[in-house]
Amino acid sequence: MNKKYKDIKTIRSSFPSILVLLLVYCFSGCTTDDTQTVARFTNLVMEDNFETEGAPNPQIWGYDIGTGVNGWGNQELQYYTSRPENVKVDNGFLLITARQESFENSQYTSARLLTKDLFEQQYGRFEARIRLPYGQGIWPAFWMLGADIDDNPWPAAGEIDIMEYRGQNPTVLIGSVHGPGYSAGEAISKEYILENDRFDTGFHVFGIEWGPEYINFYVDDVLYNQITPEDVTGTWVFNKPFYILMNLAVGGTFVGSPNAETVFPQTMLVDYVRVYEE
Amino acid sequence: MKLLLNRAKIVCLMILAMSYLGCEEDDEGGSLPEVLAGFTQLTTEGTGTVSFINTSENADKYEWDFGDGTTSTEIDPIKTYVTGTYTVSLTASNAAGGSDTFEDELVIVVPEAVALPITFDGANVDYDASTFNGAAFEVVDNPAPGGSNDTASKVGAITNSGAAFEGFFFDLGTPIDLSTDKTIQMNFWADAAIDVLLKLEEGTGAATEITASHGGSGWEMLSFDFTSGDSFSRFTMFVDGPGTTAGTFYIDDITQVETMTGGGGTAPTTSAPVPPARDAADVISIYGGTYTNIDGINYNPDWGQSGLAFVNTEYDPGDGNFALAYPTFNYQGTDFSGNPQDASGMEFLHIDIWVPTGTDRQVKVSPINGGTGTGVAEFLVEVPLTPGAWNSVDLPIGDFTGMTWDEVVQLKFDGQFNGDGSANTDPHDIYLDNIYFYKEASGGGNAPTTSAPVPPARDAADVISIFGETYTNVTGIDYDPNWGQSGFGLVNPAFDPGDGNLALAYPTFNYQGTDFSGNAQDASTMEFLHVDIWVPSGTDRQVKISPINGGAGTGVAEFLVEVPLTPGSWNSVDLPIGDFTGMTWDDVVQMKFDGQFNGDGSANTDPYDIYLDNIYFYKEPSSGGNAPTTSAPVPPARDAADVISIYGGTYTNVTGIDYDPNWGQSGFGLVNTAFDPGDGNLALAYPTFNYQGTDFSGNAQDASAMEFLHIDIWVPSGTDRQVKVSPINSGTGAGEVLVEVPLTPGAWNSVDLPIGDFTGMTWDSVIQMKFDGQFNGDGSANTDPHDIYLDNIYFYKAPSGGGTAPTTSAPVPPARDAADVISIYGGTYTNISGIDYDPNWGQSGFGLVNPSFDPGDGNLTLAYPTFNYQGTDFSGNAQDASAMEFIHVDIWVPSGTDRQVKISPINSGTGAGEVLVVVPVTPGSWNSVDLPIGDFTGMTWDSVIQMKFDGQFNGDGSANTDPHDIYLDNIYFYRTSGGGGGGGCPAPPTGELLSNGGFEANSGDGACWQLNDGGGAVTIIDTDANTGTYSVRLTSGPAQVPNIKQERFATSIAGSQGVQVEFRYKINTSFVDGAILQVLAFSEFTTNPAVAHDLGNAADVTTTGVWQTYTGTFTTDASIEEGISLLIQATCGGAGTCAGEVIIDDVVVTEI
Repeated sequence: MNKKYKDIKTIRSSFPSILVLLLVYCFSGCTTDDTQTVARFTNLVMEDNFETEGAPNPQIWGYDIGTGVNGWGNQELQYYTSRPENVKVDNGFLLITARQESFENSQYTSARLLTKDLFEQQYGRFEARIRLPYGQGIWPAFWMLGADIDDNPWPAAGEIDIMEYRGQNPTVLIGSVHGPGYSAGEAISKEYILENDRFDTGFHVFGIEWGPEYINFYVDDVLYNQITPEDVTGTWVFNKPFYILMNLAVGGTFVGSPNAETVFPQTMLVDYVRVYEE
Repeated sequence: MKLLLNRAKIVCLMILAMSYLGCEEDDEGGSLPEVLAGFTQLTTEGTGTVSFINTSENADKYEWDFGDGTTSTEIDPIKTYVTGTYTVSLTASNAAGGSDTFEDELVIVVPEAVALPITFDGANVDYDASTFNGAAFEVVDNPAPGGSNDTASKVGAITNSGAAFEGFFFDLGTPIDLSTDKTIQMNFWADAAIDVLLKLEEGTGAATEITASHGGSGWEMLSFDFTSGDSFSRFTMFVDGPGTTAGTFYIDDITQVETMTGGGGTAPTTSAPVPPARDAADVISIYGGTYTNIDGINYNPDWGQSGLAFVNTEYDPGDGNFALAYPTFNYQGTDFSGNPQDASGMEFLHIDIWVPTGTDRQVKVSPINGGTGTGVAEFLVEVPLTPGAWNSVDLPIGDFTGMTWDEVVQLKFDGQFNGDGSANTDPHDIYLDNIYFYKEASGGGNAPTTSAPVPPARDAADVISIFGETYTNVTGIDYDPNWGQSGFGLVNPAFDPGDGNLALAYPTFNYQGTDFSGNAQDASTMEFLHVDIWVPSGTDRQVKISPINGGAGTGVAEFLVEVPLTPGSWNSVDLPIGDFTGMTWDDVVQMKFDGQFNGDGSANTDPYDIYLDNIYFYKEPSSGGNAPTTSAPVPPARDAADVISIYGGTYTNVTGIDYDPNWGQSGFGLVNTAFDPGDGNLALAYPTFNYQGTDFSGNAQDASAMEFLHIDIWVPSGTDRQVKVSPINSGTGAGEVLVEVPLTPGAWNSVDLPIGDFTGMTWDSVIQMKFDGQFNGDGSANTDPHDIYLDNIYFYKAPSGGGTAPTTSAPVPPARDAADVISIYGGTYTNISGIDYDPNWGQSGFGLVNPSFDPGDGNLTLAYPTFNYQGTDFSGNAQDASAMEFIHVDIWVPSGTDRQVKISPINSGTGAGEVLVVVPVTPGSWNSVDLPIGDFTGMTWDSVIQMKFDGQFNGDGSANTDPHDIYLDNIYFYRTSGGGGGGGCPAPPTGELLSNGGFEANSGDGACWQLNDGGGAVTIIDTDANTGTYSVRLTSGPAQVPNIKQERFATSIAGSQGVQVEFRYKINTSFVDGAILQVLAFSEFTTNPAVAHDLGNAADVTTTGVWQTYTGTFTTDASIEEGISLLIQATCGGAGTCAGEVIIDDVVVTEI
């Protein structure tokens, strides 16, 4: 898992170090908008800025409804709906809201949106600007699944977690890939920690730039990881179309259950989702 | 791979170039982050509650306008609306002055609870019924309009399953009150005869039920006549209650009506009210027994109306007073075209009208004019009516817009409307009586029969009353002096309109006045002259009024102003004093009334009658007056030993105070210890106060050493009362001595009562503070309660003599490299040469400076007594301080000093040469201050030649040139370290990886820690350490991330090495609403990004006041290159109430 640093170091060390320092300085001192400096793909092929109020654009977004099998495989506690109480577009944002309420034998409701059969793509830069919710047991995610999942079940289909996070650790972001031989607890992951800030107090851009043989993970203007076939302990399955998912789970094995201090409702605010090609 | 690399490099270089440009703009201060206002919201369906989510950026202050007149400054407010459309705006701003506003429209629909009348047509009414025993209920379209319900609208459908006692109920939003109207009526549809049971439950009395029988003919009206007089909030219906009839029934139009007697409400059983007597000239009567009807009227001309055959002009309701019955009425009329009437002089059309109970119809009326006037001949006006009762209606002629009235030939009634105004040509029945035009009596209404409105209560000081019973009139008034006026001798100052509230009658009035020249009044401060005036109906005259001033002012003595009036009713008039142009007001001696004008202002000396009441001058109450809207002055800083504080926010109040012990006082239980005058500085409110006190007998205070009792007190404007205060001592000697508190109403009074005023008191064991307000302003007894507000109740003494000069020396600064310091004064570093500590700039303390003041321990300080401003001059040895990061100064001012001291270096080069910055100071102790160079905005630093100190400010920043004393030490510039990367941090203790884990070194290189306030506060403190003297305190609030960090230590640590982080922490304030204490570590690399390790949050962050141990571990990254970094942060989310404070000490990092 740590082998990748050796490769990257070779790349980076070819830069004069003074330039790298200046680059870092400029990034931190001047970059306040969403102009991306750690990604190279700029040919925009899909974007949703959530400008039309009401339900999300049905040409792009579908829903998973209900509780799946065994809480979507993770003993998650929420019932996913497409009701406006759980998902709506308002004032330029997509709001995915987890509520504590009795609904169809679940104690929580929320929503999970996906572009399956609507937008699927192989390679590209996938990013979203999101303000995350917080609190024990809150588990938002912006992620992707292999589009052939119906014929090629998980984990063989592959999964790219661009962003997932535990509400109780609101400065820690996790980016991962799952595939055959490296799924669930064995996924290839890296955490990114936000200093002097939290993910639930402002918007941040979460993205990957994915090409043949590599996936670069970035947050805002910080490239914090690259995963290549050499890093995974199984077959590299990231060479086919994937679709996008966004959801806000409550509870489950990854995050633990909410407790008395968890405040509801919790809302994941999405400013935009954009996909670029090289 | 190679190609790709090259391309990436080019991209990075281009970005670099662009970024430089951006940075330069930043450096010039020209592009502060732009404030972006925004919000979205969550609504809870059907409740009206909206949780706003603030999405503004770069802002720290928020002003919400919810669009319904309410506002908020919260970050994410929650607001409950009623149904409506609201424009919500959010203005976000920041300290730098930027602001932005975002608006959004919210449509709120809150379903109304069902309540009578129930029509099932309300778009926003929750008609969900609760069903039981098998019945079902839904709202549907009327399946069979006809019968008693021929309207195609929504109705309720009840479907019985066939079980006994099945039915439904509504929980009503408004209870049914049977105290007067005891009948519930409804349209009910059934196609076979059936009994319907209506039960009213959840009442103020026993549940009650009535059964009505339906004939099975479709829509029929059912009436349920109850006898209960209670109110009920549950409406329950059983169709065929005990039976088992299955099928669907419909209900509609459920209303509550007056209970009918006898034959029920299809025709009147009483006659219409008898109209008043009127002059024949004032009436044109069409139908009725009171006036003479005009000749030649046909009450039933054939215009094709539906009721042609049924009109009865002599319908007898039972008492012989006939009415005009129009059964089966769609429209109808009366024709008198053979005798056209000129109704131009009339003012009203009167009609008495009756329609059967349950009728939901409108009736409109119009006269029809046959003349050749320019206006319209017909204009229908709705006749307001309540079914089942006579309605006496007076329609003003003016309501018939555009009508001409010279030749009225018919009266038309049109009933082809539903109650909501929609068309409905079905016939119904109406009964009419007393149809006539009239005008108010010409000569009638000769005197008022009601009294003038009673004026509002006012402070005596705000009123000069001439006539009336509300205020005290000035003495010595003659209401009928003989000036030759026509009504002399007829004046009645005690005219009773019938209710005992007397008026001043001036019959046969041409002009008149009142004279009080023996008691001239100064009305200079008054704002209005009030008068109530009444003149008989039909009077077309003007009345003017003027006070008459007898003084020697420069203005006019008399200026007549018209009193606007409507005849036949009381006119309450407030004439602004300014309307009496040019008047002087110092010596008002008479009030003159002049009525010698026609309504158009032309002269007319004929006498007539006027009635007056409530003649007085007044002004609005000073300062709004009932409660303070500003807070009391903030007391000066004092040493804790110099104060015993009972109430107030400045000092620490003694514990164990009961501000409202029950001594039987009038205001017991009403005390508000947190009255907010509006600025958050709370006061102690004693409303309905006769006497009151505070009790701290559980914590008796020895006030023997105190010199003054201070109180801030506020009483409402106009209060004429004394308030006395006494402490109560439980020891021997006099225990209580009341002393008057001098006060001015309507303003805060800051009072310092010398202890000596409490003659004979002992002070060794003060246990209560007593306030007694049972006095008038003149000291006489008055036990009526009034309101007082108190603040800052404390004993104090002047700062102890020891507090005028320091008796200890300033802390010794840490060792530093000579290159890191430019020292101006002090014994630790080498001071630069060529310094003059007392150059003569004309300052007040020139010649008194002592650069060798010894506080007693030989560590000398620089004394500036009698200081207004002062400085040191080293222009012969100018210093380049560009590389420095801080200016350090230790400063001491005497206890009780409430002054600001500012400091600026002075630079002789180009650019700003002097920027004064406030040095934060606590009197009576040494203050070690490190001012970042950046605080001196705009300064240049290449050639610093002087240090200027300026003390010509009060504590609040306002100017004050009075001299005071200051003591300084350790004045120097410094920088923390020459190089980067932790080079300056000393070696850690043996066996440990981290230096200064106990925070004992807290400046210079040895400090090692970065203290990042992250919007909150991070402070090294010496008041609560786990071990040693120092610890660090992190204070977090909404969206704040205060943290401490050490970077790149243990630089030679191996990869994959286990590391343990342990520290002690003590929670000062519980971490709530999202606050967490996080511990994070990083494996550092030369160029690659660090690898983060989350050690987990501190588990218990809610138990306060206890030192606890945090232990966390991680394994370094296998490829680690440049050691580890440790970050401990108290982070808060966006919740507006998120907070927490923790003290951390003794951080130990070890390999495991």
